Amino acid sequence: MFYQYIAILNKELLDAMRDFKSLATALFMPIFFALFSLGSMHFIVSMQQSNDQIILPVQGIENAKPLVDWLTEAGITVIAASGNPEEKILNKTYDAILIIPENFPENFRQQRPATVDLLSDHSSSKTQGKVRKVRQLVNQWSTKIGSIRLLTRNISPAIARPAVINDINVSTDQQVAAKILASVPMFTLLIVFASGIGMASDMTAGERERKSLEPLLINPVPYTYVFFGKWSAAVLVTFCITLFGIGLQILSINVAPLEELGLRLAMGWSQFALIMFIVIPVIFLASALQLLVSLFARSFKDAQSYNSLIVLLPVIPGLYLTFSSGSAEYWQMLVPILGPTALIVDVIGGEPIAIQHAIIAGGTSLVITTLLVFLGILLLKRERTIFG
Amino acid sequence: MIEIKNIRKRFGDIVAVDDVSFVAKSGEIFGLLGPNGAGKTTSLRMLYGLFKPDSGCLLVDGISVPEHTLQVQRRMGVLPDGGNLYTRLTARENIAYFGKLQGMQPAEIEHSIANFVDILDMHSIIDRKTGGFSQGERMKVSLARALVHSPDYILLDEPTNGLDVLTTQAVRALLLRLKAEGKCVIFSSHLMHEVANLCDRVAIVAQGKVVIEGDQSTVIKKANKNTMEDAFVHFAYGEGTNIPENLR
Repeated sequence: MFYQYIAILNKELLDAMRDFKSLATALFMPIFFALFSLGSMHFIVSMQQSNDQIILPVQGIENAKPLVDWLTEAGITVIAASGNPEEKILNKTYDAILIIPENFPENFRQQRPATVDLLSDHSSSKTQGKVRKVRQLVNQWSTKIGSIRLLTRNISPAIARPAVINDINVSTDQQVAAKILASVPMFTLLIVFASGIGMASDMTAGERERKSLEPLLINPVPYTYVFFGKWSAAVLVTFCITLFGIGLQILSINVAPLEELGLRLAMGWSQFALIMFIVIPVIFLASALQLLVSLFARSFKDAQSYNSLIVLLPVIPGLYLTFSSGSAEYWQMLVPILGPTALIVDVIGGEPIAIQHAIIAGGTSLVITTLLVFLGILLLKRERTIFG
Repeated sequence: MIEIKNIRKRFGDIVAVDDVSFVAKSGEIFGLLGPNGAGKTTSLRMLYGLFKPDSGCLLVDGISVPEHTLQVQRRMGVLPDGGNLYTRLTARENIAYFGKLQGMQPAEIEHSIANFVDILDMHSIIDRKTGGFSQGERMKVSLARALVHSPDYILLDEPTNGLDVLTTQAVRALLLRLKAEGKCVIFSSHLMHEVANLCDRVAIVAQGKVVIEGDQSTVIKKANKNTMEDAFVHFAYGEGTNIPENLR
């Protein structure tokens, strides 16, 4: 009896391997997603770099050389401003312009407040980051000079600073990176749900449409074996494509210039194994669901359309988790697909996952799989399923 | 021996098989005849266990088909109407797959395939994928696939439909050979020249009922006609129906 199950499994695998079109379509998705991740990370890095680059035109550079040197040291590209500064801001040639008036050196020497004008467009939220940075640097310089002046009078500079803000960023590098990589868990589950479609439809609705299902079922094989044989074949193929897809994702994360953002992601073999461990029960579920839907469908084309809708299932929890924050929670593990997605988000975010969470999420998937398999076998036994 | 007693099968409001009974013995070719839609295919599907009859009784060697389907299926080789091959597999892989499902060992399967390659002259096609096969080539592979486990009971639904002369002859030779080996062959057809050439006994089905069962000469005599074709028209379409002279 086991021999018959193996025969069905082998035949379906052989058939799937020779169906180049379906196989190529199934392999396209992981490759596309990996390239997409890589591309989007490159994009974010390049965006970040252009943000860091602040070009600041300064009018009257010669009036405050030390301040200009301070700004240059802080990585700001200072250029000499020309023309009407207000106009340059309004037509967005520059984000900010610093004007050091002629009376600055005199006021500075006399130790009177020496004013500088910082021109910017306060209605443009895009440029505010850069303006804030310039403002901060000018204030820092001012504080430094003030401290030196107090020291020369034998007064502790601390007197002039009754309160100090200690700015602490609690998110770790990996958490910031996880925000950037928030789409990866969703992509992973999309691969799980998409890679088996062609095969599941072909083995059931396709087999009936090509009229090879009737001869198959005339053989003395229990329908349960037929279903399990086909299901195992779908699971194996989906597993291999998912393995390939997650491998490519991890490769693309490692290749991406994340360290240029100051982010470090520990994505190695252990994370790879962990994600596969989380995903395997979902593969069971996805394959069973696809087979059930294909058996239910009236034609091969119907089966493919229904299954294409199923592919959208992982998008819902994926989007939910993109907008929600915090680590995986207990109740999420009881929701199919949501639990595994939340766990993968944590793995990629470098947070430890609770093993009982993984077990509950896996258990949820397995319970639903059992139900789907049971329904699938019942459906296969229907005369209408066999003959359409 | 196959015994069918008063089987009936309905799909919704449509009665596909109303009252079919016949007996087919080992060592004979039994013809199940009838016009399209008479209930031949539905009757055979009940016999090979894919349909459960609403009432009636189907016995193969005294074993009830609906109750012990798998046990009966092991003794049967079935060529269903319009049954297709796996086009991405070779002829050999197609046949071997069914051999394995019948529980045969690889060596037995190879031996059986070699045998059919000789009988049905499949030397040039056995290791080709069946995707581009002609209808005749497909029929040979389907036959070998159905018979790979040397079953005692062979059910063929419209086996010579649309085949060329050479393939029809090959199929006919195979059926006679099976009969000589003492197997029981049931084949359904609406082509009377096939029936006249091959069948020892026939049952004519019309509107879901067996209207007559017996050997060919008895059937012809009872219809008071000269040929099997005339007798068939008489029983299948009702008394007084005649084939117009200009269509003969």
